[in-house]
Amino acid sequence: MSSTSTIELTGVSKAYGPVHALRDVSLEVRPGEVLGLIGENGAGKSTLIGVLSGTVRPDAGTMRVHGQAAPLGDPRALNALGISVVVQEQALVDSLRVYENIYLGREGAVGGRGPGRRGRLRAMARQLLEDLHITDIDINSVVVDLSYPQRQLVEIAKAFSRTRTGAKAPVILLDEPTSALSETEVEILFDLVERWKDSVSFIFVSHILQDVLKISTRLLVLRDGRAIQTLPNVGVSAEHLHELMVGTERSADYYREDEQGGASSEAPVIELHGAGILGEFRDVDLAIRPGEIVGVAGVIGSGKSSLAAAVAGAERLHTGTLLLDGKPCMRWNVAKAVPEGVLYVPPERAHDSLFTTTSIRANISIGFLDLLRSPWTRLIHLGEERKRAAELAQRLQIKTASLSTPIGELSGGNQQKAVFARWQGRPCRVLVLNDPTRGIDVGTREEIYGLIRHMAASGIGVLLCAESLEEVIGMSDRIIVMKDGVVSAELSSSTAAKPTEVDVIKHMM
Amino acid sequence: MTQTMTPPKSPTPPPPPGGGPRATLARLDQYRNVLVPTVAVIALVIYFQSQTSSFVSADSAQNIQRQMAFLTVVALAGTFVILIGGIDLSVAANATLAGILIATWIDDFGGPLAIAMVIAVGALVGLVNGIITTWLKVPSFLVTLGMMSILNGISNSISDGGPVSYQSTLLQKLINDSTIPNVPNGALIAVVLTAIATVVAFATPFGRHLYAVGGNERAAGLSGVRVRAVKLAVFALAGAVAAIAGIIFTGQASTGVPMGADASLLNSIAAIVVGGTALSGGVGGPHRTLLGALVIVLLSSGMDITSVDPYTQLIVKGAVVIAAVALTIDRRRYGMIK
Repeated sequence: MSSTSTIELTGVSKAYGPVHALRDVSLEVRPGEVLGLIGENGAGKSTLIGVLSGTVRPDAGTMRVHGQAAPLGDPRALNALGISVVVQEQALVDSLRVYENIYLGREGAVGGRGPGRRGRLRAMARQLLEDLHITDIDINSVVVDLSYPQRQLVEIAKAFSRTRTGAKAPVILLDEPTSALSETEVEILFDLVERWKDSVSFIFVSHILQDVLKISTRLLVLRDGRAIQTLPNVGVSAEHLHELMVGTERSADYYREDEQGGASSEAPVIELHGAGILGEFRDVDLAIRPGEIVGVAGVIGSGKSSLAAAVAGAERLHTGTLLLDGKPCMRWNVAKAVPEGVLYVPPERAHDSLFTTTSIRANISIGFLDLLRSPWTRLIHLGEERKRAAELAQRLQIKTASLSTPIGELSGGNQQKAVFARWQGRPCRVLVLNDPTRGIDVGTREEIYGLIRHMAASGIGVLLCAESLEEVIGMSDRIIVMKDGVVSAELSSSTAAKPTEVDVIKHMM
Repeated sequence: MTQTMTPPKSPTPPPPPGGGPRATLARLDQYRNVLVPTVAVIALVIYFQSQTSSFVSADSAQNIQRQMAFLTVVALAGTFVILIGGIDLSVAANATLAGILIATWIDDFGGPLAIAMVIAVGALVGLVNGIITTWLKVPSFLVTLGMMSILNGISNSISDGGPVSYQSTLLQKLINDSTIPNVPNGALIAVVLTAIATVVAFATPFGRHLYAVGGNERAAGLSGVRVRAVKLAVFALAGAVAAIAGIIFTGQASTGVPMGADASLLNSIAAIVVGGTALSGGVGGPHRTLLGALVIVLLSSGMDITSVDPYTQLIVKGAVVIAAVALTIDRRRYGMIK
């Protein structure tokens, strides 16, 4: 085929506040290629896919499609150039039928005008699925009635449908297409890719390394938003890729490892026995003892985030039991956990933690209003509230002119400190942290690590579930590794013998 | 006040991202909610006084207090529900039912017992609204719209569609007489209820939880707020307060009137929103509703005095509600306005 690249991306950078998601990344995809993107959580894979599909507008960089300059940050225009994307969060309209979804927004262009359009679209969709060997989906089904993998296949069919409607040498971006598919469905997908790859370029992103290795012709390794290396997929070992993905050494200072207390042997505060949530995790045994930091590692979708939520009462267990001080707790929920001192910092700050239009003060005191009540009147002592909130804000160094400011005006780091301050105002026995440093600048991270160490030293048990492997290894006394919903390994992470990221990653993938 | 709250370590604030003038505007916004109705009150008084010199008089003060008493209490009932981000369209119909019931029961059961029973029925109606909204997850807008129709039906069945008279003089004493000279007791009740509601809103965990649920329901739940219990309590409370409004209405009218309080629904929502409680929830409070009610009552009694015809009054009030919502709605909270 022609020697010009289908897509050429040069010098792309993107920052979200203080966080650099992509730094000077360049890549090219040639016709007939399947480019596999690999990297840890937060390495920049999703942002890169976003740039390619136009949903993310980069701060710098250029993109050429078939040798022509392409408009960045314009999904419709890029789509018209033949780039389509199959994402994890599905972009199908639930209430429409399969064939309607496939040709959504292009009915006129594809089906022509006139009364017979519906019939023509149906016939085309039927032919399309037949060509793609997708046999178990009726084109007239309403999407909401389909299973998740079936919808994934519809998405894929939708992307393929564009290859037949005009655009030359199209590109299909597959963002984690296999994580929800069964083995046979993965086979169908890989067959499709194999069969079409001469006329279609693919970019394939997955946490499942073996899938990437199986289907890609070339690999691009991302780390901390940088393109580390591209290499042809010939005789590459998983071990080697792990090393490329992980890169440099951890800094012991950063995580205050000198202050690490070490694993505890006291009686656990919270235990899980055979715990499971359908579709998330199963058969998990876990104990959190006073003063220790238990890390949970795993790729997105491994069930680790749900596990943390379940310990905190934010999600209900379907199977197994949760014991508090050795006694089983029925119908465990956050409202029960908080008075017991089991406190939760959820992952999505804006969504899960903040009352953005409300004052910083009210955002802090919501954690301990019950403790501010006067014994006589049962009313909240407003002066005490101001005093406590001000003390906590000062101790955590929340930078603001006034605690009456709506918390939405603060930076992400200061917002997260306010969330920690909320729980500093009441007795705590177990702190459950679900990705506590997401989207937070380096300086504030360090402060938060210091705070976590301090809390552990005072006898609080910490469950730390985080996307950053470095963080989990640096902070934890021991690490539970999750893979496909089960605990695949439990590693010691004492100050003297920290496991390497490669040690951990090999149990994750 | 703000001075003492400044953490000593950071004398100058870092400008928040995208802040600067925008942040200043946001701070002005907080005052806007008090300024707008206050300015409206002054402007309305000046305007109507210039039209008819009798607007500021002892007579119209009595009249305004009477109207205020009822409207404030109905609007208080609605305020709680709006604070949690829902809406109760059945408060006025609930007040009508309470007005009919008190007229029906007061002679048979005696004043105090009848009043307690009527308030209990109001709370029960609210609780039903709450149960359907929280447990069956039907939007409160629809549940209470249906409830409005149900209550209208019940009120008319009980009263056979006609006024219900009673002998007791208790309501006369309780609502229309004056303990404080020139202030009818009804108005006093409204002010006291507003004060209590304000204390509850700001100085009890329950009140704070209302704001939390209205501000971000998910975050409230993850902070340990019993979201469902709060919602149920709010709807029941709204029902009970609406019933008190109905008792005031019947006391003022001296008979139970079917459909009597129904027309106050739009006025009560206008009072809440003009006062500065946002329909999106989490912002505002009972104290603001008092001011909002004053604006609405001044507007309507002013239009009465200057003999604006009733149909034009309807048009004006509708326009005021829409304008007030347009001014106070927090558009960031809605992905899509439908």
